[in-house]
Amino acid sequence: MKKSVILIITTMSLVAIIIIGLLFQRAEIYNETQLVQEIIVTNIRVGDDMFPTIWDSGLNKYRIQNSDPEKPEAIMNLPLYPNLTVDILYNVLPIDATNQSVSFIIDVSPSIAEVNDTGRVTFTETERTSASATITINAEDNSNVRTAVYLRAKIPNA
Amino acid sequence: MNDIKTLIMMQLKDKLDLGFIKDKAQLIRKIVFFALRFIIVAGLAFVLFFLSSYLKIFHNSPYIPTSVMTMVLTFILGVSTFTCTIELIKSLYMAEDNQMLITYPISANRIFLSKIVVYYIYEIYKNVTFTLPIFLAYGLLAPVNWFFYIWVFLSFFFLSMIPVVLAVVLSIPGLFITRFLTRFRLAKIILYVAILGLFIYALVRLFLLIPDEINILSYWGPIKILLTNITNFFQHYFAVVYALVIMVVGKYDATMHYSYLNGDVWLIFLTLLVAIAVLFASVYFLSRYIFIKMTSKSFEYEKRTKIKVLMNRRLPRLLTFVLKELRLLFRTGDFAYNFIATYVSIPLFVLLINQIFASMDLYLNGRFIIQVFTILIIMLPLLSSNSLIATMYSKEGRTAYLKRTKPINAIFPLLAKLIPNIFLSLISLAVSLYVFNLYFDYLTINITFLSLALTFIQIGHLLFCALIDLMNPQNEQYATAGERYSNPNEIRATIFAFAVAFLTAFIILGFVLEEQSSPEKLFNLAFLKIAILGIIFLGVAIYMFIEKIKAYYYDRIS
Repeated sequence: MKKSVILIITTMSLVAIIIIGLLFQRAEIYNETQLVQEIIVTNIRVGDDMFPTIWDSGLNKYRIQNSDPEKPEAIMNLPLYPNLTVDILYNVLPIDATNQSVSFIIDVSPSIAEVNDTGRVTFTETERTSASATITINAEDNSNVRTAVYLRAKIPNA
Repeated sequence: MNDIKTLIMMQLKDKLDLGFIKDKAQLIRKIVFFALRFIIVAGLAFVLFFLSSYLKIFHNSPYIPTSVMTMVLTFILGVSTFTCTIELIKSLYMAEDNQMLITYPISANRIFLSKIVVYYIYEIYKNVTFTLPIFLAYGLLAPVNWFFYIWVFLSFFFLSMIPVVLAVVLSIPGLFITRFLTRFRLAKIILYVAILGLFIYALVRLFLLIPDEINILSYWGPIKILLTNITNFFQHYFAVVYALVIMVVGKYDATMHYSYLNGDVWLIFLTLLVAIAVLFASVYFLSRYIFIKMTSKSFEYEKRTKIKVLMNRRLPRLLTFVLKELRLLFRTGDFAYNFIATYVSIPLFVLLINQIFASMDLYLNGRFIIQVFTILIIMLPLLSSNSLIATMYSKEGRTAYLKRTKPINAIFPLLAKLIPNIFLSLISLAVSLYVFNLYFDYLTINITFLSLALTFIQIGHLLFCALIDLMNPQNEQYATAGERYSNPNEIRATIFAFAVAFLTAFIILGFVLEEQSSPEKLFNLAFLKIAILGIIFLGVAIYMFIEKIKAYYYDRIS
């Protein structure tokens, strides 16, 4: 059988699944709203590197887990470069929450650090050798659920 | 150097069919098709990457991480290495042209090197038409450096070396495995059947994992987490491939831009060069030794088949020719693989499609549509695979004319050639319909009529395909150009297959909707009508087959 025939059959099947699903599927009625119960910050991503986070009960916030096993309590510093950018990776629970949108609020001025609506934090601090910020993640479904993550960056060897 | 260049060009002409270079019109057509293919692959990749970033599929972020490209490149390199190994085993050690090439006034080392260079050039060609457009599409969405658009073209010359060098390494154990399996046929059959069985079992288990209720919106969160975990797995456990991706696109730094101003990128590049050089040099001496040994080996006395003495039994005429066809099939096997792959994949595909539809809560009309769509999905590949039947008689080349000299009716050898396919395709059809009925639970009489109808259509179409070949024989082309000849009968048969499959599906839909009754509960007249149409189709095919044999073999028209 020719490759083009396989391609046609596969494409046709995909299109059929979508069309049949759209035209002939019974409408589902949602009568129950699942509110967000928890927001978990799983990782902080810097470039391609992942830094797992832990809940610090002292700070009452998430922070980056220290990679040094001898100092698990110490707060880990990210290396501060001009325009250091990090991504906050999070999960919203329960998994079937009706509205899984969240918003981010940062507690410092834009001259130190900024956060955008996807959870990307950019450190704009240029004058001092270190900078820190707390980012609050709020659920947008009126559940009033929120969490916070603490980030600290420092110029290496400064 | 000129001698190696000549050797490479000779072999490339065989592999890539470079005849178009001298013909201006063909050259332009090739360039246009190449550009189109490049744009289509790049466009599709761009759309997929754009959707992934728009829907924030990976890491809950609108930016596609490098781990995604690591996953893509792992698959591409894996498939390339596998196919390259299989082809290099044949080309390096088992190719028939080795015995001719070794008579040229050039050292065996150079012949060996030329063969590897041919595969390297072919790998570059494959990468330029597939992998490169994917990387370029990624570059358009990712924050890459301007240098990427220059470096990506250069880096692929080095990246293409990896599967070739790995294939040269793997071809050595591969050769011994191949020789062992060729020598011990039973072991080969058992191994192939076991692999096929395991593959089918794994696929069935995988398809059955599809949940009873698919609601992508509800499960969007876990799906995103799963996809992120999968890509992270590749970045973590395929660190070498991840390093290669960094080498091509640059290191994703703390400012969230890909940069080449990083020691890692160039260290990886240098390591790659050294690794390839060391690997190639070490394997060159070992592999070259085997190559020279294999090419210089005499082939005249290689066959060690024990001659079995068999009683000359008188068998029915048709059975005699069927046995001959079966022996031919088992001797080479190449022709059978294509059919077996198709016949095995049809029931699996029916299972997958129906498992997906079963998870949707559909209206009654939707249920009718998916029944008919499943029948279309069964008939399309089944009838399309018959297109190879339209080449069967011609592929016999000049030996086909021997049929005229046999003191029997030509219908026996002609029909016998179709019997293995009829038999295997009907098993595939039966299994497919069994899977079909697991989901739709038809009344026995309804499914029987439907099975009969599809069986008649399949056999009828197969006979029509054979007729296409009979009426427009291409024996001379196969005798001169060999297997590479592009047979117009095959294209005609494929178009005919599509027409018959769609017509069957539409007629069934019409009959089923006309009945407007639930086919799983009551006797449905629609299926009886379809069976009658199937009988008529088969009847016409048989009549035409017999009449055309009379006309073309005996110059008789009734």
